[in-house]
Amino acid sequence: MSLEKDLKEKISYQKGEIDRQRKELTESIKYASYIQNALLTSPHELKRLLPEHFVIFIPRDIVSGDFYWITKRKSDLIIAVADCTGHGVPGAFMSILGITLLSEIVNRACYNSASSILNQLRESVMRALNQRGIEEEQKDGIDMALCLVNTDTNMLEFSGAFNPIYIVKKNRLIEMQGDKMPIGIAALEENSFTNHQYNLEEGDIVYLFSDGFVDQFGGPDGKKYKYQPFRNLLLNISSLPMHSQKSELIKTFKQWKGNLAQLDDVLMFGFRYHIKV
Amino acid sequence: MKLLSFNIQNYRSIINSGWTYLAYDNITALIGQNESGKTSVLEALRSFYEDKISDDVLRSDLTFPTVSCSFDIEDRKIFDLLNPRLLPDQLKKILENKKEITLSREWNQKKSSTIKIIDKDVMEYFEIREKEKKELESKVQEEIDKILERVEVILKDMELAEHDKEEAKTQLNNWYQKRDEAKKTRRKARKNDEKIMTQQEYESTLKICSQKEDEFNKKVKAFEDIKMQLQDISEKSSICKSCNEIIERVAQAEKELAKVYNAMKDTEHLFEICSNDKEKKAAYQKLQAVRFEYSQAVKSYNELKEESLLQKVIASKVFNGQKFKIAEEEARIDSEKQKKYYRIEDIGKELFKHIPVFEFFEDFSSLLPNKIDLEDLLMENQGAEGYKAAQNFLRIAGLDAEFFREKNHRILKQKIENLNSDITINFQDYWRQNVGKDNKIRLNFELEHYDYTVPEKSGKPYLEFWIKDKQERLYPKQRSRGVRWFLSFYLELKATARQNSMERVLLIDEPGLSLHARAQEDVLKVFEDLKDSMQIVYSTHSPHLVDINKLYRILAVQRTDENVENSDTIILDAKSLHSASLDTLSPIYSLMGTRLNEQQFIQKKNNVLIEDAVSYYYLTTIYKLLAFEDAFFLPASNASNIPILVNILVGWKLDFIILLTDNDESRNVLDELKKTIFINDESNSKDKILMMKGYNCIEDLFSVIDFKKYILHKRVGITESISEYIETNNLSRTILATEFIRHVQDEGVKFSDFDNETQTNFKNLFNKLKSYLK
Repeated sequence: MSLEKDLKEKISYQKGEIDRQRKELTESIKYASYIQNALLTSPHELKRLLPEHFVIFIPRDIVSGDFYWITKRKSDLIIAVADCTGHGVPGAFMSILGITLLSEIVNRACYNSASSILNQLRESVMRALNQRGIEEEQKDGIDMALCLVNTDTNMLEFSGAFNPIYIVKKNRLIEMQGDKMPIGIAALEENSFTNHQYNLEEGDIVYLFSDGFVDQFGGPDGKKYKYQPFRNLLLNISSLPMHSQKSELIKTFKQWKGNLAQLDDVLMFGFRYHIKV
Repeated sequence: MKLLSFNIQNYRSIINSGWTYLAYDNITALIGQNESGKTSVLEALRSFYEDKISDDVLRSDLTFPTVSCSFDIEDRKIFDLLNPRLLPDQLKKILENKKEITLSREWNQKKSSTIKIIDKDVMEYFEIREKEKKELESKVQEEIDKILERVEVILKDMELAEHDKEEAKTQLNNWYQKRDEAKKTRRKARKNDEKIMTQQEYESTLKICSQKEDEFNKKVKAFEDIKMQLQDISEKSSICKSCNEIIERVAQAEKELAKVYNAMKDTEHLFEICSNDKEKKAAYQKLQAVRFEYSQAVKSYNELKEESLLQKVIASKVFNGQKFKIAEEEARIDSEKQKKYYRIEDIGKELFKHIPVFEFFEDFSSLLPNKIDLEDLLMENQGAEGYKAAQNFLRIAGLDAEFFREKNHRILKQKIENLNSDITINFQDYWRQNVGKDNKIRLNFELEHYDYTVPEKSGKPYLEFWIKDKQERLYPKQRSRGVRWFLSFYLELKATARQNSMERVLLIDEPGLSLHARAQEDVLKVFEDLKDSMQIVYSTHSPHLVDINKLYRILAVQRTDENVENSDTIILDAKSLHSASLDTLSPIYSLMGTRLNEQQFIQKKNNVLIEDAVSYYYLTTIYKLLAFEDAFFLPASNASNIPILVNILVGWKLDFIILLTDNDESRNVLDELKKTIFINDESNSKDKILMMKGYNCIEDLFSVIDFKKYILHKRVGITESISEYIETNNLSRTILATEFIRHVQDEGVKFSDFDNETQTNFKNLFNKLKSYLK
């Protein structure tokens, strides 16, 4: 009897201990998420740089492997939406590394195109993670869509590591493909990222996103949402104000996901471009 | 102050040398054939400093020489050289920021000269003042003439008026007489008709008298008016007269001056042709007297000229309505003030006091003696054999009379022994010529005393000099003349450098003519040692006295027509050496050993000098990939050797451009090239030097991706510039470059295989390069 009592007490103690540790861990990660959020461009700054925009940021866990980073340097507006390998804590570490390196490159102003930023970022990530193309090393990297908009000339430059961008112009969706290589070491030798150019016009909408939305399982058959429906969705909602587009996208995502678990972090950034007067 | 450049005009064969710059590092060599005019250049500079010319420097067209020199006042300020209190404000403002001054010495037919500052602003200031002075003088003279003319007119008018007045007076008196007679006649009349008639007659005379009185009064008034005019103008006329008087005196003084000058010249001539000492003595006394007379005449002439100007200034003020006394007071105060200020020639003279001392070394007649009496040295007996060389030696050793007053001979001997080792070591630094075997010479001196064999000097001290080598100890006179020459030259130069802190320009004509080639090179070493304390300009046609690595030090002197001995002399500086004749440049050709312009390796044009072999590998490889073929890349062993290559190409009249990367070393090279080859001529250096701005080394032209892919062959994150990466990781640039060439050849890499960044960087560079090529 006393043995049983002892065991119960022990189990109860251990459960309490586990609960306490889980709570502590969760609190710690939660606190980390505040730090991660603080690294993201603030809503106020976003509003100042791009008055008509939306951000959808739904981390799968408390912290996220996705991040967005927007800044302006002289007449260059730089917008990056990234998806780091992994999610949760490892992803969050990568995202912090990504934000730090990206801001260092841009702040040093040693870029002359969107692709040169990605090229340098890849070098920095490889250097930071000591990646040298050998088998046993960590293959972590970042997928990214990066736009460089010259607000004087309205020229948009895009360079992508796997991730594309979409531009909706007068009910027509234009896709710019990212290169099939990550920011970080890959199987093949590094090549320069492609630098795409597009002349923006008044009212054009630009969408940058991670693959969390399109890869989400759900719907009647529990399948991935996929890109084509996603492009159609964007075309359908593009005439709406940006905040309404955001609501529609979240609504659609939730409906699609239903009761299934969220597979990955979801990040979307959209803005309507206005020519400087 | 530092001598920067000179311009020689009408000096022997030099009609106009143009402004010729000395080498920035203080050693300038004049090379050229015999009779080309090298010595004339040195002598002209000496004349500039010493203010002496002989008849043989005059050209056949009898134009008089002018030698101008430009100086950098370096870290001094112009008001350290000129007293600002002696400069009017306007001139002070003109001068305050001057860092460079130019002085010109111009000779006249009396073979005397004036030194003046050649500065556009300063000269303009004085020209304006002179113009104002002349205008004032001419205006005053005009006014004087007018006034004196007017006085003459008034005097004539007055004479006429006086005459009229007297005539009117006479007439009036006549009529008074007639009136009185008519009065008497009337009184005597008895008959009525007679009474009426005489009364009428009397009344008529009365009337005429009244008229004549009026007339007379008018004439008196007219006369008085004119007299008044004369009085009015009398102050002006009196000053006019004194002005004219003084002008007359100036003219007289000028005549007197010319007379005394001619007398002085005659006396000088007489003095020169005197056949014996007695005559010479008498002539000399006469010459002294006449020279004194001349100086007095000059003084009196100048004083009169000053007084004349002062009178004119007073006159001008009086003519403008001022009272004489006030005008005089003001003019005298102003004149005194002006007298205190520098005149243009004073500025020249004052600045001249601060220029470096120019010393001309032609021959060293004072060769080091075997011995010299200490007494001769202490008593400064310049006639003693080898006095100067011995004196120089002691000066270098830092010895003075006090040193030798040490009474204890043993101590003195020991002191001398200690000194000997210092002097010998120092001297050996410059003398590396082997004497006989593998030994070198040493220089020693010792204190000795005459013994009974020289009874008249017995017991007296003397210094004995030795030139020693490992095996023997010889008196200077036992050594070759070449050794003695070098020694004396060395002593003279070193002693001059020590003499005092004055800046110096040494002008040396054909140094080391009697020296062996090796010893001539030692002369250059001495120059190198001295160049921080003085500037050296020397003439030579020896290749051993030219530093092949420093051709910017060369000024080529040659005749415009080398076949005509009396054609003009021209001077070509380093950047124009290609225009010099082959004979003029023969010392350089002798040094180079080959005529580079006659070989195939270096082209006549479009040679591109690059920093090193690594740059050569990359540039030639990419250049070939682009199928370009206009440029011929010539690698130096490193950037610092580019000036040497430039020297050689300039010497051989081969065209080139220089391609430099953007780093500290190449920037230093750029500065050196600008100073030496292009002599701060921005436009010329711009056409010749292409700086790859932003590229620390040639590898930086590649993108990081291409660098890894085609050169490094390693997958690694490179976040710094490629040059930094190579340096940090201690990589061999040569191995990398070789690997690049191998890869390009083996893999058949095409230019289009490189990424956009690499392609753009190289294309931009080559396009720019093409724009520089001819």
